[in-house]
Amino acid sequence: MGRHRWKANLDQLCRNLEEYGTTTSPAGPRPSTAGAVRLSDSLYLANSASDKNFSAICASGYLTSAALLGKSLSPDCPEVILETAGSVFFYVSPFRYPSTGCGLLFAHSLELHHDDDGVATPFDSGGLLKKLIRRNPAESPQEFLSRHELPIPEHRRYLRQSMDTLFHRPEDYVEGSHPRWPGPIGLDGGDQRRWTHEVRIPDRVLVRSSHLQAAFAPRARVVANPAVEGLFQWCATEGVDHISFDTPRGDDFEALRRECLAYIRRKLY
Amino acid sequence: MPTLWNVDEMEIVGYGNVLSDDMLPSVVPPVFRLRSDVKRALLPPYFFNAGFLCNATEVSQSELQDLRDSNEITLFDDAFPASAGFELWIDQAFQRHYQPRDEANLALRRIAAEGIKNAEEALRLGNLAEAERLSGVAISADDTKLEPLAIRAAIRRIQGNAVGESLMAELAAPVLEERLFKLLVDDYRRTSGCKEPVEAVSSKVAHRPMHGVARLRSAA
Repeated sequence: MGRHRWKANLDQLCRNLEEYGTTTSPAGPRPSTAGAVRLSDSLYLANSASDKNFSAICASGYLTSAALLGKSLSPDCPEVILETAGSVFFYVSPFRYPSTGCGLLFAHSLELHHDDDGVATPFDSGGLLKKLIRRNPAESPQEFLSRHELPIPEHRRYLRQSMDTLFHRPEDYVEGSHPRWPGPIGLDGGDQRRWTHEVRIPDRVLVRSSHLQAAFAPRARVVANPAVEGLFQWCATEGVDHISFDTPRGDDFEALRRECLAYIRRKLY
Repeated sequence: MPTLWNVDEMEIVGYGNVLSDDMLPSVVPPVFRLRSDVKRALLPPYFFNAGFLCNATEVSQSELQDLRDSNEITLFDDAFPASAGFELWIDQAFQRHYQPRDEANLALRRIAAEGIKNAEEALRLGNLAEAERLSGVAISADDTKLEPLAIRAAIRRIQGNAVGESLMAELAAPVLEERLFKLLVDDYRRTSGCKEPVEAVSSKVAHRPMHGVARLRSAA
């Protein structure tokens, strides 16, 4: 499996979406809107973590795959079944992984840096074995995943097309509002991650690099944890955005999600 | 329409975070499970409304264990009954506390006040490591307090770490104007037991092999 197959997948998915748009919309397929072009070209890659994992990321300087960390994963874990344990995962969206309190946004340039070994899917791959329901249960999750793996950064073409075809307005994809139309992929159930693009990069990703767009952490963590403070000092020195926030009643994920969304609105809308 | 669960019909099996000792004490969001069906667990994010838990994510027992193994949630060895209006928090010894919100807030405010007092004393005695640790306890207990930020800023100034000092000022900026924050830091610096600048125990930005790279945005 490589870029040749992924490009063929992309062409097929884009054709399917165009046909879907023709049948669902009386006006037929629409040309790309400026909002969809802008957002699909520039949306950041988001990776969030629990406070302890984030501290370890800041200390090591890398986002590291479970396989490279030597983590022992259970045989029924999605990453083992789908053979994705060797990847670092990102959502092309605001932070959407629950039970996390800190996070990093990377610029889309990270995809260009990994165009030979990174891959995308127009959904959260882990959800295939948990929350998402495939309309054709005869097809294995591995086959389904393989049919939907797309090259990076070209997967953003499908993202742009789906923002225009499936959503009321392109910003709804970012805001997390469900699409008007389910689309042709054939997945039901779950949450926003059913239609959020995922990017996987093998092994590890350097944090303190030109691709880092912004770091997010609760104010108390920046002050009290030396590794997090170290990253924020680096961001301040290098002119990288660093956002700290209050977490009333320990509701870290909601605060993280809200701050990230506000940041994206300021930068990209 | 969000899915609702009565909090009084649930028990708590853990919390939706993993913390290290320098992040304590901390209020944490509980991981619930149904008393009537202990295989069904409910994860944050969620919100409460009139004694009901709304919009939680339901997961199975095996998913809970996967999340624990991935260091994404913490599970207790036992479960205990949930109550509406209660707060779960973890103290510096990793002991859990589950009490009415007002009582929890009072306890945390006391820990913050004590942490600030002891950090100020440690700073006065020139024990920067202890002052740093205690200011961390204070801000973890109550992240609205400004004194821990000012104590940290004074320590960074003593260590000659101008970036670290200005980062603390930046963190305080939403609630205190820079000039007033500086006065507070000046005061802590003046009363500290360190008369000369000292080197930080471990400077996180002293060696920067990637210095400047973040300014070099890709042309694409």
